[in-house]
Amino acid sequence: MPITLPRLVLVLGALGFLGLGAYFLQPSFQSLSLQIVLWQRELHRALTLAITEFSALSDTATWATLLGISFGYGVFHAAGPGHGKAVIAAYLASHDSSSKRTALWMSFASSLVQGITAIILVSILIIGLGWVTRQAMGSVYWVEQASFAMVTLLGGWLCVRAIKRLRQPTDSAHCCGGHHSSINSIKANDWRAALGVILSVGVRPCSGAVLLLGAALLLGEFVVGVVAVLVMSLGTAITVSALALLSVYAREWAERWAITPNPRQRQIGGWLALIGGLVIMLLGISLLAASGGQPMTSPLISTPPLRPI
Amino acid sequence: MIRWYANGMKRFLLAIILTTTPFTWLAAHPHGWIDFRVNVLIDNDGQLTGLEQRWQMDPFYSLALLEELALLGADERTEAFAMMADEIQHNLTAEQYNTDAWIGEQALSFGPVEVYELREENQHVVFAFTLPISEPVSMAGQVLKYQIFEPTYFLEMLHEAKRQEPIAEALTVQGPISCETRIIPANPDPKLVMEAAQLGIDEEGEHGLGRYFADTGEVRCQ
Repeated sequence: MPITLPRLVLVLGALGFLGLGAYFLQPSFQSLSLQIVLWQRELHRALTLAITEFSALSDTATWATLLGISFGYGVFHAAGPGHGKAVIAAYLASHDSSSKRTALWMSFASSLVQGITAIILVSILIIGLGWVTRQAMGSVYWVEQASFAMVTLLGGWLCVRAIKRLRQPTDSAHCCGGHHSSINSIKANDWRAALGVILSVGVRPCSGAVLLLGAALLLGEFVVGVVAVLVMSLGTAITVSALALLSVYAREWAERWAITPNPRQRQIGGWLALIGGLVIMLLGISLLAASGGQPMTSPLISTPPLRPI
Repeated sequence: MIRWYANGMKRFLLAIILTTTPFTWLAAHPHGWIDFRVNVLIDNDGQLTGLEQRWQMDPFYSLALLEELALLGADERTEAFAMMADEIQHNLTAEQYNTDAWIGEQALSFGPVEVYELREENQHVVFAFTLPISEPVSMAGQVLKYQIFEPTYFLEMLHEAKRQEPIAEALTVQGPISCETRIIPANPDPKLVMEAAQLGIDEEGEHGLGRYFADTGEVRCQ
């Protein structure tokens, strides 16, 4: 086997270099982060005004403007903080079965599910049950709690799965050649894990999207609202998939760098999956612990109580 | 064995770096806004007595509130407006009416708000109130500065503007002395914004972020 120390030094050196780079680039990151907030607020205002004024002049140009703003809003809104991206990134970075393709469809599916949840929520609560918009926005709080709980459960399940994988006997004692791994059963399980990520992340709609749909409905432009939300999801998907791809690239880079075919590889993969599961579980728990006891629709006026269904 | 640990460690580091750092660079953006106007009240002795404010809520939130009020009869409606106004007044008391004001270096403190009203104006919900200065100060030769902001930046608060330019009514002075007014746009420091953002955990709770995006009203009296 190759000597390990030089490799270790190289890896540490690379990490140190990255750290230094990040330190010197920090002012640029800070400016970029601020710029994103400023674009977001600009797009948020533009979108609100575009929908408010939509009924006045609904020609092709108005539609084009609306769709453009919605798309941009989605792109930059996803560039803000949010637990969904953290869960997706943690999963992809820690599960060696996930590929770039997984990253792409996971990002698109979770973004789309998020948009569709908002549309379903508004359709059922406001159109179906006759709730007012602010009550529907308040209900986002409960959906959000469910999402955090699902993230916690998903993390726990990933941990259990990783432990099972670690406990499988390694055949390293007998063999030095190709390893006949029995990870097929785990691969078969992976679509379930991916589905878990998509659902736990996607089930939480943005309260802003609910307000948008509610307002569009009140303005008699529900279809416009639905289209705007779907286009927004597409924008979100692009940002999220960029981040997701980055996670996969980074993991693959790490694998190429340091791992030679080795029976222990599966072992390491198992440990990594365990770490990923733990990170996701802790994320879920901290989100549950950190969220306030009240649904938040405005700092000025509390949300009206939800109606019993 | 060393290699084994090196691999595990490095991947562990990568996973953590990947999942945490990008999110600490990001700050939340507002989910609604308020356009405000300020009328600076100066009494006959040239003393600053209060800030009369008019807050206009954004179209979506206004629509949502007006929708609920429209469900009520005329009498109930007036009552509901009054109840909401009471609630806003109550919530804002804890936050010092989102207002910071100084004369020179001296921060001003405010008395209880007794005059306030919630009403509908052109499809918008408007909250109007008078914020009294607890100890009136002479404005002669003085400079008053103030900022009005919602601390969490869930709501963005700015002087009412049209096409980026504050309208004339956004800042007015009512009194016997002559004063010059100016509205200074926010110029947020990226470093401070990021520090404030890092204090928050999730989208909706970044205390102190709003301050950096607030514009400043300035009143210079002779």
